[in-house]
Amino acid sequence: MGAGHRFGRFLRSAWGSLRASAVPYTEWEARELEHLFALLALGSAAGIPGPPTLLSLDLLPFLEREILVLQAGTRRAGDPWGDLFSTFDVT
Amino acid sequence: MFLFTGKGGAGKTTCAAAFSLALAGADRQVLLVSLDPAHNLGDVLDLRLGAAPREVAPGLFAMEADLERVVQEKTREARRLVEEEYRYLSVASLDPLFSILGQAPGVEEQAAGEVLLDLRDSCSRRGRILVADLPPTGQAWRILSLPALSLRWARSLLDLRRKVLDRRRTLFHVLGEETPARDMEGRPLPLEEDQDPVACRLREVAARNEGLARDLQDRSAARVVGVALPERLSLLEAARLEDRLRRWGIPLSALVLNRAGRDLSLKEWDFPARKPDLVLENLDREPRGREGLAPLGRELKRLFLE
Repeated sequence: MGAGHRFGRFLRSAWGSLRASAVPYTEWEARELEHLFALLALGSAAGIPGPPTLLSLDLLPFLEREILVLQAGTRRAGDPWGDLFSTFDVT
Repeated sequence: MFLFTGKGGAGKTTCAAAFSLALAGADRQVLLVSLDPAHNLGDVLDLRLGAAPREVAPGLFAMEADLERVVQEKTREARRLVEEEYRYLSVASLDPLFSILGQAPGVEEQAAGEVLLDLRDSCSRRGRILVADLPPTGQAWRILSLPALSLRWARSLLDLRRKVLDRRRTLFHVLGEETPARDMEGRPLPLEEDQDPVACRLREVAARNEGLARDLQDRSAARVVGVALPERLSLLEAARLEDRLRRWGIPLSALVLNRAGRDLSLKEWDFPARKPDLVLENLDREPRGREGLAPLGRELKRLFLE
């Protein structure tokens, strides 16, 4: 096995490892951004400063996923450390 | 577009009606709308008005917007779309949300803003001048600041939405078909802005409000007219109106001093705002109907068109 081949294997393995650790983080980030979006878009219903109410009403028909994400977030809120540790694969 | 406001009882409806009649008399096509939930435009014109425009004089159409109905219609439309679009949540489970959104404080001012947006578009298509009789000062500045406020919110939410789409695309590029960005039925979520209904709706809202927000800052497109009485409180309120509007970049185009009477010496009055652009003697304290409003209309037309 030549040095070039070994270097190639090293790069593939490093890429795989980086990808494995980056994917959960990106997933977590995407979910939290969706969560934040839902909170802001429907803020007036949640009692936090939000956009004009009729703008929220305009968006509401397209926000089913965001409402479900919010509901899931509410369930996870009881165990924030568990959520964080599972995201970063801490056992 | 001309928008009349001022302290309650200052004569904004009378001025808006008189000015509209004078414009129509000068062969302009005019739509006069009352956006005050406590309408009295019909009382001033001595006519019964409804929520649909009615021709009340040659070239002059008038209406009293039904703001409560606007909110009800928007809520009904949102419910219909929710029934169509939602797969997991039922409309019934969202009833508390609809109830909160439909009865939230300030929702009537927002409905007035929606009517203003619609009428601006329709008047621009038909070549009509829009004259709006706004509610008293406090509500009026909220209505007038709404396009810029909605624009800010729509842009901020769109920025955030773009970040969500960006993360989804990243996951798709790394994982391909194994991406977790899927809906509850396992279908991939939209990755591009043009495929995402939320981003598309936000872009529409931003574009719609941007036009009106820009018009309100441009004296050649929209003129906000303050109407005040020669009384300290009324003039102080006019000064506050000018200050509040300035924060949103909206100029107060003119201040009209109504019912000044014949013997008024302007020097006697302390003007906390700028001096009035027009002083109306208006000896008849409650002019009504086309004949009664004509003298006022002539003076207002002279101020704005000559």
